[in-house]
Amino acid sequence: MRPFALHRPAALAEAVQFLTDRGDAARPYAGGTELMVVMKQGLARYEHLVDLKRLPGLSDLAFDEAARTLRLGALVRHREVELSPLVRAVWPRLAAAERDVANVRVRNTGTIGGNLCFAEPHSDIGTLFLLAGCRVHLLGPGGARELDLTEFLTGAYETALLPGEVLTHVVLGPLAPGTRYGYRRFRFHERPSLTVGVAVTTAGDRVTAARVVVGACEPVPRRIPEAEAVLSEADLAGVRGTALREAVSAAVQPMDDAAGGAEYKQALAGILAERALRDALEGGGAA
Amino acid sequence: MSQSERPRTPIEITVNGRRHRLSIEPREFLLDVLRNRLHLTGAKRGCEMQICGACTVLLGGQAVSACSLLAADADGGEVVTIEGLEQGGALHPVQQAFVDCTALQCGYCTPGMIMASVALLGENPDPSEDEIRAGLRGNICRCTGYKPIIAAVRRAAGHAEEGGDGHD
Repeated sequence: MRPFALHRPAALAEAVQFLTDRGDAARPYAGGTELMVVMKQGLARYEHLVDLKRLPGLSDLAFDEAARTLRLGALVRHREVELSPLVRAVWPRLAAAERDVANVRVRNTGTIGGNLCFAEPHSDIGTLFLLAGCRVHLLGPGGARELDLTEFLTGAYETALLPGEVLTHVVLGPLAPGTRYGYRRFRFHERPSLTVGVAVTTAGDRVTAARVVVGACEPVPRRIPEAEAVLSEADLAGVRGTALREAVSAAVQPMDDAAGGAEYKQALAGILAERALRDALEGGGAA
Repeated sequence: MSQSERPRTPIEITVNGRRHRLSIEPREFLLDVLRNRLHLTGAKRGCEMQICGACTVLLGGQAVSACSLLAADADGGEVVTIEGLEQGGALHPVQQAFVDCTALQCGYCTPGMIMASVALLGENPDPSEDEIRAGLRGNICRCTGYKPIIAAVRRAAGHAEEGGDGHD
C-alpha cells in the first residue's frame, strides 16, 4: 500500500475543513473494512486518510417513539445493531439481517456510515434501509443537509457526497405499527448476490401500503413500483405471490458478474420476493 | 518519498499484556506490526481481505482481522494473539480442546480459529453447535472439515462428554 498521512480530527468541523481543503487527495474512514481492501489492492490511493472514529456525536443509536424512527449514527458498527436490545425490540428484522453481514470481524469493525458511503453494489443492508425508508444526513462546508437514500446512492461505488461532506447519521422509518417485513437474500460469496425485501402495511384485511425493494444485483438497491402495485390495495386473502414474483422478475435488470448471471438473478429475484412476502404475512409484527 | 520523509505516527498498543510504544507508518496494518515488529507470527497472512480469518486476533476482546486493521486503529487498545493465550505455562482451555479433538491438520487456520473461538465463548459461554457454526463462519479451514473444530469448542465450553475427537 502506498504511504499516506493519517489525520485524527477531534471535531467534525475540523474534519470537514480538512476534507474540503484536500479534495480528492483525502478520504474519510472509520472501520475501513472495504476501503483498506481496495487500497491494498491498489484500486484506490489517497495521500491523506481522515479517521472519523474519535469524533463525538456520531455513534448514537436511538428510537424516536413519537415519530417511530430509528436513528443510527454513522459510526455505529454492524455488530452493535445486530446485538442492540433496542433494535431487537423495535425492528428485529434489522438485527437479524445484520447478523448475516459478512463475518463477525467485519461486523465488529465496519460501520453503517462506511457501508453506505462505500456504496458497494453487493452491499447487504442498503436494501433493508430502503425498505423502511431512510433519510441520510450529511455535513459539509455548506452546512447540513439530508437526502433520501435513493438520492444518496447514485451508482456503483458512487454517492451524492459533495467534496468535504461527511455522513453523520441515518434515520430509518417510520416503522409503522401495522407493517410487516420480509427479507431474503442469496449469497455464496462473502457478499450477497441478491437481496429482496417486502414490507406490507395492513389495516384489517386490506393492504394499505406496500414496498418491494431489490438490492445487491443492480448498481444500487431500488424499489420496484410494478411489484408494489401488485400488492397495494389488495385483500390479504387475495394477495398473489405468483403475481409478485412475475412482476419483480420482469422489472429487475441484474448485473452479470461473479456473483451470478443476470438471468439467474432475475428469476431468483422473483422467487425471493414471493418468499419474502410469505415471511412478512406469516411472520407478523414489525419483524 | 524516502523512508525518512514518510509520515509516521506514534502508537501505543498493549499486546498480550505487554505495552509497546512504536513509531509506525500509518499504512502498517496490525498484522504487519504483530508479525514483523513484534515477531508474533502466530497470526497468519491469508486472503488479505477479511474473508479467511487466518489473521484473527482480539482487540478489546472482539475478533478483528489484523490484516485489514490499521495498527493506528489499535492505538490505545489491548490486543490478544494466540501467543497470549497460555496461562502459567499451560495451554488455554480452548487450545487444549483443539489438541484433544485433533481440530487441526496443517495448522494454518488454527491460530485464527482459536482466537475466533475464544471471542465466541467470551460472548456466549455455552454455544450450541449451530451457534458455533454461525460464530465461526468467518474462519475458513481447508483441512479438517470443521467437525473436530466444532467438537473442540463444545468441549471447551464444558461438554467434554460429547463426540470424542469429532471424527466419527
